[in-house]
Amino acid sequence: MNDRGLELVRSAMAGSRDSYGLLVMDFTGFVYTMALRFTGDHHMAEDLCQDIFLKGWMKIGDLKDPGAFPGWIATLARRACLTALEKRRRRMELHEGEADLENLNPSFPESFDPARRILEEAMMRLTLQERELLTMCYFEEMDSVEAGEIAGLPPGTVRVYLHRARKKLHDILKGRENELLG
Amino acid sequence: MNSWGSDRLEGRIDALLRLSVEKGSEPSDIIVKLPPERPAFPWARIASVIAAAVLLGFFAVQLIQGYELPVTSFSLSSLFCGISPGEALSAAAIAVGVIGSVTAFIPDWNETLRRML
Repeated sequence: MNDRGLELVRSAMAGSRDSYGLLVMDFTGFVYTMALRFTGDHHMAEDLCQDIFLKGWMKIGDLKDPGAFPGWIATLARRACLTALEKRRRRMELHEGEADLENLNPSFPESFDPARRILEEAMMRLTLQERELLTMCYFEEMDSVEAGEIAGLPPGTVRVYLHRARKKLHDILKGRENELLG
Repeated sequence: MNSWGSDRLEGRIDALLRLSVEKGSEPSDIIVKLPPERPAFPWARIASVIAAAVLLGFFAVQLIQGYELPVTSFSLSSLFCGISPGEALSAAAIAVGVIGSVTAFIPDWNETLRRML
């Protein structure tokens, strides 16, 4: 985190709502993307964003090290997403019996540009763990150690999963270079 | 994170992944609303729970004093003898209600309670 970010976290920890609001603006992109890649549902991701930042606001006083804020918010986001997925899974099991839970139709916002939409569609063809790790490892230069701590995996395993995920993503998007580069 | 390839597609995927988690990558219509103030340590809540408990206790004592009770034996057997199933059920319901109300005031348990309901 840069100095401005650290200062905002310190101020938010001391109770400044305005500072936390600025942090929310800085991190909504990550939290929304994380929620979207977990759920594949734009509206659910939107609601999760609200819940995660609200929870963060209630708990930011417990944060010990301001520099740990990105990892902390990523952890909050991950937990909230997993809980939401579990709730959806249970709801669908109740209502649809043997529904195919892995092949839900993803919904993305209208405002995504074509390249982003293609990327997100390709991401949805990876496993949940691969999507999660790819998202975290591009956030705030997070390394495999930190991502592993959040995901509960050893750093070596994170690196293997990441390598596999990138290769799969590359294979999925092969042939769509022009659309992505255009 | 190091770039994971030199060809154009890999570079573009790398750039898109990076852009997708940066500030402003969310749809523009997403607005996170925060409550006006973050409650400090929930002293006010704890105080209100205690006040409510004291008030309820006071009314309960008033109610009990209204009955003409015989000399009370404090042994365990006398406590439970003469309790009808309906009374036991009511007592259990009240206990669950009180525990539930207290739980609702503890922020960390809110989520669990909400999930249970």
